[in-house]
Amino acid sequence: MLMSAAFFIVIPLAAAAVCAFFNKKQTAPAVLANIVLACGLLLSLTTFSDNLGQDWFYGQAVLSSFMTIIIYLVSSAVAFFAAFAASTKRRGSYFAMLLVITAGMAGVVNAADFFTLYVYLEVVSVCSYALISFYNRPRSTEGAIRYFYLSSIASAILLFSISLLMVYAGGTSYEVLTAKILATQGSPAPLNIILGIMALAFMIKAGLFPFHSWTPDAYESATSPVSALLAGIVTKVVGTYALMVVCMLLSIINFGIANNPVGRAVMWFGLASIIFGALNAQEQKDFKRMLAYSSISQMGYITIAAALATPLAMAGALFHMFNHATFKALLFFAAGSVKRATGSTEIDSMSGLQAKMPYTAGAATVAMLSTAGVPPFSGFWSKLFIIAALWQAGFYGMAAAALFASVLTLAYFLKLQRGMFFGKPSDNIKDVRERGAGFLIPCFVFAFIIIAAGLYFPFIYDNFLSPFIRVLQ
Amino acid sequence: MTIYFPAAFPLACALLAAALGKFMPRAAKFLAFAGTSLAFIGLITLNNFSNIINNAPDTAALTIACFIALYGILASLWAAQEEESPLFYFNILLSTAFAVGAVITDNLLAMLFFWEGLLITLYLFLMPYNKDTALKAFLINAAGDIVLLAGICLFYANSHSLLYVSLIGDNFWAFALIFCGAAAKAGAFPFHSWIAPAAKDAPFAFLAMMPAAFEKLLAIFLLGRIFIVLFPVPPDMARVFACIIGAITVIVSAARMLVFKDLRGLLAWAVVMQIGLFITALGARLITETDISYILNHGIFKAALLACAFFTAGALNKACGGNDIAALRGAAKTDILLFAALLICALGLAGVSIVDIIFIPNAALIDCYDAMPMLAAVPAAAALSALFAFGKVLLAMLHKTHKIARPAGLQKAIALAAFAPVLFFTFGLEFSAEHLFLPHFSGVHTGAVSVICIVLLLAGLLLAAKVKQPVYEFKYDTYDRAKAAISFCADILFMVDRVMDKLFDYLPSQVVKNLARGLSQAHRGNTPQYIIWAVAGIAVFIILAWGGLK
Amino acid sequence: MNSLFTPENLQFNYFVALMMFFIGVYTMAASRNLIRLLIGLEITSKGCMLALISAGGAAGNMPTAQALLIIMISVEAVVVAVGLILIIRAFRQQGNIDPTKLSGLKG
Repeated sequence: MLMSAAFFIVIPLAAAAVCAFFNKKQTAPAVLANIVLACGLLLSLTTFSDNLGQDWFYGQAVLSSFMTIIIYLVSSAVAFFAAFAASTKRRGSYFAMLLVITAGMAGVVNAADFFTLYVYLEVVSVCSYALISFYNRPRSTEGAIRYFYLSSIASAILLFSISLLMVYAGGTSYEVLTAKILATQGSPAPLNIILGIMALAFMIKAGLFPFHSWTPDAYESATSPVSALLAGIVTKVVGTYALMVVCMLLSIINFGIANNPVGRAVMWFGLASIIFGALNAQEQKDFKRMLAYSSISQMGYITIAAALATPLAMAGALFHMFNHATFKALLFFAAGSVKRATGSTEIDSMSGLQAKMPYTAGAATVAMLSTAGVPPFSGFWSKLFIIAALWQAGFYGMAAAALFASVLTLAYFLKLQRGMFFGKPSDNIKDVRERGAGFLIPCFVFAFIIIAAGLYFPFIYDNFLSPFIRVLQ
Repeated sequence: MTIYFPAAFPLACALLAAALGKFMPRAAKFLAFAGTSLAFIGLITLNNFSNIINNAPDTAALTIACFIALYGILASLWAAQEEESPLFYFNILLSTAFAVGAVITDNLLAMLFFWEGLLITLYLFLMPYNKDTALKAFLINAAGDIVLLAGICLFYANSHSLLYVSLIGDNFWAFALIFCGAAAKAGAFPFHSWIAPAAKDAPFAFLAMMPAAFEKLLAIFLLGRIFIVLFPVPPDMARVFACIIGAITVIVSAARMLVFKDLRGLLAWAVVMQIGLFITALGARLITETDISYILNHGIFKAALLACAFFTAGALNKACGGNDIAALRGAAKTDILLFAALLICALGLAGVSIVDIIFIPNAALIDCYDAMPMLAAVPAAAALSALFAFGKVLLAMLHKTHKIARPAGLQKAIALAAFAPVLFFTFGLEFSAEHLFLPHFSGVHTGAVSVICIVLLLAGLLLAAKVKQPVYEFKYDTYDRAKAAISFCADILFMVDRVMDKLFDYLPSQVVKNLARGLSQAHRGNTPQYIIWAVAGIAVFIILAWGGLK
Repeated sequence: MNSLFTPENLQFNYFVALMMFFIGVYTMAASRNLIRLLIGLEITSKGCMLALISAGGAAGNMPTAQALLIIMISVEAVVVAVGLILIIRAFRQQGNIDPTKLSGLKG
């Protein structure tokens, strides 16, 4: 595992160094980044099953391998999109940053130690601040500043909990931690506190309510490829992946959710995010801001399932992470296409876009329906798992609220659809046309994945989710 | 399944007629005749082999089925002179098949199936002539069938079986519902209002077949089943119930008969009146004693009379070019046979005892009188109005006007053929439970003549009185009432729906919108505020987790 | 210096670290100046580093803790550099360094 983990981290870093030298060239960095990330994707797909069985704790290997696949998938899609959409002179730096952030994320998911996780987390965060504010615009600066400060508080809290862990367990690696867990089966309280503080840190990173305030600003002010990257994978890796790790550890400590007060507190925050995100997205005027609030809502779903920590819930959380990566990335790509084609992403300023940009509209519709949890798309399955797991565990109120939020999700997306894509074409989109294959291919790939994952869900379940569930039980 | 073969023949012929009718109209006519004849022959065969076939229907059912087939034959022959559309013959065959099937089955469920099949044929009969009437007939009959279905379900719930052989029921509501369902088919109140409009447009063959013969016979069959098989000991309220419904029907139809416009309408209301009389007599008889095996004969006789009357009216229609009183003037001179037939039918429907068999309706009169003196007014009113109405027609026919008649041809012959059973009954033919077609002579009741004379006297008095207008105004049509009630209910439901819409659609969306606006206002771009929120969140998290950790 | 980071002083050290953390957070929340915001972040960070090193002392694992601390310092240097760049950008774009004036993104 270490061998292949090194590949996933080192090779993008090396490519980033190479890209940084070709700062002013237009095509070379883009091509290099795309090739490296595509190779990485293939490698992660093929070595998925090799990595199973080498767990530090239950289920960790499957989680890491699956997350690597998702990271490379979204990153390669973003690199492809950015090759066409990034309108900067400093292409080398841009793609180098992209590669570094990918390497950092791969490092986060493959870390075997909390401190390693922290270091890579910082790498990812620094790169994301840089990417958000790449295009020297006032709004980007504001978004980056907000993200910077809130995220740094989260890193500080994480450090605090790492230090506590060092005191209590004598080290910070997963190995040491699991040994300590096994040694202190009877008195979980100190570990609960430590992991609770850690969970706090990751909740801030994930953008849950009430730590969400940076999310809409950061997503709205960044350009579309960066937003797709952020929403599609970065917040997931540094936020919910780490939260899942913490919750898995918590559940091991506490033998299930029933006597896990920290997990329950996290669940409340998750629920609040779901409802808050869905409510706040209703009256948004800007496409990307609405997508940001929608992301908060979906993160809430993942969090509530992760904190529940039953095998079914964990599988649901994992699959929802995958789904959210695909459809949020697709939506941000669509937003990028719309911005490039019409010059703005205000919902009220245009309508009937579907007539001029049918492919983008179609792909965006697929993504929206999947977010809302409409069968037969993949979002339906993951939401079903999450709500079913909630119901099974006895949290009927939460399950009902999550279901209600699905309705709200559908509501604001339908409003978006009707307002922006469908309806009578407005006058200011007369000259609009599709921006070209480069913008559309990632959209189609993700749409295909969404539909395929929805229709061939048993395949996904057998190959990816049931090993996970089996290991967890 | 073998007992269904008499019904299978007309069904097969119906399907053939449907297939071939487009290309060869004559084939449809021939098939109608063939199908109904085969049904008749099949029934007689079934009777002869009844001891070796399982679940064979008893002789009462077979008799009724034979008459159904017989009138099917006559109707198909009659219609062959007039009707050209193959749909008509298809309907005849299908109706015969369903009616025979309903009668000879041994199973309440199958009977219900065939019974309801007649709804379709009724609609198909009336549809080419008047869609509204067809719909009205269908809906009213469907309502009656629903009542029947409800009764049967209730019956099944009580006795848990649907085969005739093993049914004993004593639930009043089951009885009441099945009773109403059976009577509804024949046209009792309040399911009577479709017959008069249907009689306006439909051809005479249909009228002779469906309302007159089939539905009467089916109603009589089911009523017989109710009283003999299903409820051998009728519930206490049964008799009163039957009398009430019968009385209302008679009074309504008697009133409408007095103000008839033409022979069609007259006979239509006569149909309704007969079933009313039948039910009243039934109820009255039950009050005094429990033997009602005569109802078979009564029913067949009345059905025969009505069919014959319709056929005669049809022949007269063809001969005189119309069937209102103006057209019928002086028809007696040109066509004495038809006049005689109509006379005898009129007398029979009115209840004059020369042409009726022992029991009806002067027996009805006596029964009613025995049961409750006031109830005797019902058959008296029936007789009265029948005499009055028919009297007008017959007197018009005797008028001395010279009129050129068109030959009625074969239809006359058929009318007279239909008349044959009437004559048989006149001379006392009687069916008994053991054998089919065993004639014996029962004699004639002379004791009823006195009653008839009183009735005739009152009729004369009424002829002079001016009772026409208020009677004509009396119109109780359940169908129209039901339509008004339904539209009223629809208005109320619409109001309820508006309230629900406000509650479930407008309110939640307004609440969500306002919440979203408020939350949106909270994000004003103030970084320190966001940091404070984060700290507050940390505090809340610690409280929540600590509360559990304690 | 070893006497400060012993297991007996753990509670005191952690108390100081926590105080520094919250003072830093308060500074971040209540500052009218982006540089002060950054300094607040630094205070928070230093508090965490203090916590780490005292944890190392209490666990008796000083070498590991020192190694981690050095890594942390270098990471924090990068973070500070990025933060300063952002402050410069903000100043160049809007002319002041008041965080409350950074309110372009609303809703």
